[in-house]
Amino acid sequence: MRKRKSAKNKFFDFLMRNKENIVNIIVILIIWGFLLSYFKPSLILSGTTTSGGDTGSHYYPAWYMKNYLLPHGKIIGWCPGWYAGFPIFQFYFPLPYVLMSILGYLIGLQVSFKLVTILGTFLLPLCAFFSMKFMKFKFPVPIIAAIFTLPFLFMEANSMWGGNIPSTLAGEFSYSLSLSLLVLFVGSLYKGIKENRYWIWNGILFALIFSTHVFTAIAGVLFSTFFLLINFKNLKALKKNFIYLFKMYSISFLLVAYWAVPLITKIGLHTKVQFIWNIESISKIIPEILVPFAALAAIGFLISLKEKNPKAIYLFYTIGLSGFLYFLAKYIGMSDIRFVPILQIILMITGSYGIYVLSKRLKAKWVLTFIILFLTIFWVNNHVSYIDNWIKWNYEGFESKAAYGQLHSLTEYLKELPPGRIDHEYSGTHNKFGTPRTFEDFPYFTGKPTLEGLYMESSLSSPFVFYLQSEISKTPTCPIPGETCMYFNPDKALQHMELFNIKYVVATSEKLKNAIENNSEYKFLKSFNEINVYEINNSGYVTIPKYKPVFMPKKNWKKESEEWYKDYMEVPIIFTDNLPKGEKYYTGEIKSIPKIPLKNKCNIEEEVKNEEVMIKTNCLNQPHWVKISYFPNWKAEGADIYLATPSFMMIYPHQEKVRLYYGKTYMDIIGEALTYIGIIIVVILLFSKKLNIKPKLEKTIKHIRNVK
Amino acid sequence: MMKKIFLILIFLLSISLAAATYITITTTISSQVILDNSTTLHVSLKQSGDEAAYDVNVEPLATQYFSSEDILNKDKLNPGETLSGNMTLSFLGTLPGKYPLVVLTIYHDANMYPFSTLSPHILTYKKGYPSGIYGSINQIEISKDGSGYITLSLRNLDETTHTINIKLYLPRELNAGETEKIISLGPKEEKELKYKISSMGALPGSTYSILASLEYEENGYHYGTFASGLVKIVEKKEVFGLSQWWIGIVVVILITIFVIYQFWSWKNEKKKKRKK
Repeated sequence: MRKRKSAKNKFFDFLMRNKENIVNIIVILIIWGFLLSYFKPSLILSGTTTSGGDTGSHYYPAWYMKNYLLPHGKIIGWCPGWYAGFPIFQFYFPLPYVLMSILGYLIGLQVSFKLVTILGTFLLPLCAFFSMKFMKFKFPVPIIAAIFTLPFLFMEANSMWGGNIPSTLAGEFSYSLSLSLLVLFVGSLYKGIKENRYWIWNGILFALIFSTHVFTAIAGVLFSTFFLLINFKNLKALKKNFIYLFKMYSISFLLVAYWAVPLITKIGLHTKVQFIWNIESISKIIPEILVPFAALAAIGFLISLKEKNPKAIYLFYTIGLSGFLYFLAKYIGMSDIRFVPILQIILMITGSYGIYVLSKRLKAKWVLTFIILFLTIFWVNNHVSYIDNWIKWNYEGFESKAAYGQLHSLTEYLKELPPGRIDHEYSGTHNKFGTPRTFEDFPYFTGKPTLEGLYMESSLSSPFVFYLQSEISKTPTCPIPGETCMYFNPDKALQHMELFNIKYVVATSEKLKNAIENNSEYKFLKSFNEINVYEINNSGYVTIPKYKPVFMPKKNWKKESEEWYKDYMEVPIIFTDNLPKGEKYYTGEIKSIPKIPLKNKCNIEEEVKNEEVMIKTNCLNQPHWVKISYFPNWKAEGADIYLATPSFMMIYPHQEKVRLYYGKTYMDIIGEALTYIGIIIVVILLFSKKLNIKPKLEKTIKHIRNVK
Repeated sequence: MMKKIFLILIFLLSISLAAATYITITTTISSQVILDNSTTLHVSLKQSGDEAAYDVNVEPLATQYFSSEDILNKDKLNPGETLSGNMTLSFLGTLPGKYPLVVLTIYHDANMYPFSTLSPHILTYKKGYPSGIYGSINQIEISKDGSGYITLSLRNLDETTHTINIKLYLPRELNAGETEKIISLGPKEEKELKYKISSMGALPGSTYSILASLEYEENGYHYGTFASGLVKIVEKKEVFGLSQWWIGIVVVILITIFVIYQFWSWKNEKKKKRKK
């Protein structure tokens, strides 16, 4: 009897001693359970291809990473599927796709893709908890911070800013993951600097943030200025913090150098896409669902000023800085809105500090935690209207849509056709297949490249592609701010399609179908309900231009090329700062370029692979227009290579057989070398204590000295 | 003081407010008496919501008496804007009388979620008389993935028996198994027909109009009328598969325990102080 009682007491003692930890674990599990009640496992674990918004289009890059890049030992490479080719993951964040692919080898890409798209959402409460825990906020502040991520996640006020579930479902999953890691970084950096430890781990964490999004990384760097400003008068502390940050960011830089060094050095070769949001009222930033939590944060702010609590002041510093970055972004060529979710989420988790100051003198805080948890869930659940519909729409996949039969027949037909690039009319009606952007997945569904895709900033060709889209679409998207679109003009589009070596055209609207019905250049192939497939004559990926190209300096090439593309496409322009011998720059107007006919009876054979083009020609030293987007990684064996209008390559072969291949620049090699060095340093530093390396090294050095 | 503020905040948290943007489209249809085998339908859509509707399509639904290839279309219909136009209808009937026609409007919100609405219109061929059948459909509420039964109540106002062709028209977001029925209704007789209506991705908060055309022929004339009803899609608010009122009950219990515990510990502390 005594024994039993003592066992019972022991268990009770255990519960009392670990009360807070047990509450923390239960609350986290309930939060995840609440998330799972929306992200139903039956949807997430089903083997279907994720659809919805931009997310549906993200599948193709993930598929390309798993099936081409990683098997070829690459993370960054050339992707021929969109925009006449573009450097995939050179200007976009590779980490989520690497995760999807690695996991995809084990459980299949369809499921791993879904899991990684929701990873940031599920990590956010946990990251908020540990962030506040790292800052040594007392129970129940960390777990309430985790609870307060829910209103942010379920905020339906916007679906494009990032971080919340609607934005994640619309395709911003990389940002969501990065934001969760940033929230963790806010706390781990505070702890690291206070204890002067963990700089390697913080360096790794920051590298992960940078590999998932750049806006969060910018915010992270600026947040760390707090530790310099707060010790501005104390030079010793300032020096210590500076050294810490320097070491930490150096490790981060080395780890991401493989991606960051080429990114920085090639940044001029991306297409600028800057979205500026006009936020008319504060209610857009703090919509109703966030109001109570923002009010708690405000109470916390006022009391932190009174109490001079450095942790709370640090959090409010990050909120203020995020707001400052939002206002600054438009002046430095960045999309401003990406900084607002950072402000919102830190404001939410800071609300937990408001709870703390209000409940300081109250007892039974574990009961309070559950009250807050259930009230928050109740509040959030009553503010959700469309999220569960969107989740179902995305994760049931293309295959579950009523119109999948039509899509399947169309894509199977296109797959069976001889090789060739596809161009399609944009139409909102394609949403019935899963997203209006469904046809961007043609490379995945059919194995054939198409023109439109995601990551328009990654390709030099994207402005030209969307210009062409506007010529054949009843409802064009014109997605690049500052770039002009054309009016509906399928006849003019033919010239652009010839330029882009388009072989198949997929038309949806009656307007387009009627317009091209009478044009003999478009040969009708087959109809799939309202969608028609046409074939047009194409001359191949490598052609001899009709007229001799002229040379112009590279300086204003984008502007000049766009002018050329709109009206005067007959004579190609080569943009170079290294003028070949015997050539001179053309200095006149684009519309007046002289037309000097070229010998056009050449035999050209071409073999186009993902990152290689084999050309056999009998026209040596003649210009050969390669209808693949230019990028400095393209190298030529047996030819000189140039950037030519609109954004393609022009080569001058010296020999009959020419090989074009997507290689590495010096900066790629330097970046990769730095990353290897970074990995070696991290491994040595992390394991030096375990392997007892430091004393061994000292001993060896001593021994060498003694021998000398 | 802090305690009071805190307790007020807890209660403030449970107060819910509502605000949303919406699209409201009112369809007006007019036509002239049909004299030969075609007529022109004039359709006008007025957008009186506060957010734009996208890719708006209007088309008359074909029946055994009408066909049309015309579609009225607009890429974007802003609040306050009107879309109007004419559509040519081919008339395939032979008897003079009144013929029901349904016009389907499909539009999308900013997220490209489709909505559809039905508008009834009665056309007269040469000469027509009012129908002797009266019909009505009750209003029901179903959840977004759920189903429910509507009842079509029919009453024969005449002294003669009518054989009625009934056709149920539903917006694309709703579905019913059997939509066409033929029944016989004796003099002054009343009948009720039940249809199972299922939601096919209908959006919670939306109300959909459903229609049933009631047609019969007698003494060389065609008679037609509509019965109409509404299906409201309601959000079934659940948490972990349970009604969220369970959460309310749990919260009330927890708050009660919490408040009692505060007073109890406050009293205990006071006692201890007194003993000291």
